[in-house]
Amino acid sequence: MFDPFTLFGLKKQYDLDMELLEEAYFAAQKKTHPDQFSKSSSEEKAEASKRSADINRAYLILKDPLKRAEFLLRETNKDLFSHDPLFLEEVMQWKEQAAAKEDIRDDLLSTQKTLFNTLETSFKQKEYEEAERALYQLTYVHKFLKEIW
Amino acid sequence: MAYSTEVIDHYENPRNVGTLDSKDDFVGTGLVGAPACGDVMKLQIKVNAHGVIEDAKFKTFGCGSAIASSSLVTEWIKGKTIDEAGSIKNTTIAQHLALPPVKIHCSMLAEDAIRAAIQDYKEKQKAA
Repeated sequence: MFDPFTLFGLKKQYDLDMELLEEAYFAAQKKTHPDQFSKSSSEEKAEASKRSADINRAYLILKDPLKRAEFLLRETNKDLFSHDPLFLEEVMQWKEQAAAKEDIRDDLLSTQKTLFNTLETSFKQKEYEEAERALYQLTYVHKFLKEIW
Repeated sequence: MAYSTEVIDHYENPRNVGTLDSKDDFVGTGLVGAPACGDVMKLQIKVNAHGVIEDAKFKTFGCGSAIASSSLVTEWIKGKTIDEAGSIKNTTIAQHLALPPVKIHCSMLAEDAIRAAIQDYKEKQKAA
């Protein structure tokens, strides 16, 4: 099973030191660099290039807080992303405001900030349902912010 | 990727856009969404004393396929019993609109929305 945390020898948790991640990433990538395999067999070259692709994939997951949270939650919960009508009502309202050309960026940014705090706290306290809810809402807010920026 | 003429037709002339009174005991509201694409879909049904859907409205913020899927199903479910409406499958919607594989989840959203609206109606009736 593909596990970005194990791949970099990092502890499997939401809280992550970005500098540590970057160091681990560069170190791992160095080992698979094509220059190291110039005299190797084609199988070894192919193996190194596959590993290099895995490392990039793992890095992209760990670097992004939403993807990192999603990876961790997928392992604890199978029913990720069921509908949340109360929150969707709020999304509906935002969409209507945006359609009416109201500026809701500050609203969204402060919601995003609160949700990131909730996500971090709930992971720390192992409240995975709460973390899942925060991730669900964050995914919406994140996507919406990208749309209206 | 090009949209089919059916999708474009529903997208440009959406049927039954609007809202029904969600406080009405005979109105069921389904609110569903897809976080990854940011879509949100509200579908409402008004059911008469014989269990037949006599009106349906929708409001969708999303891509053309999501709008077309919800527009199409509001047309389909009018005049149907709630059981008939509840058995509509997303594959039928997708087929009718000729949705490409990447847009299948939009038709799934419409199926979910019908189910959610029916469930909401049933719960209200139980409580009433």
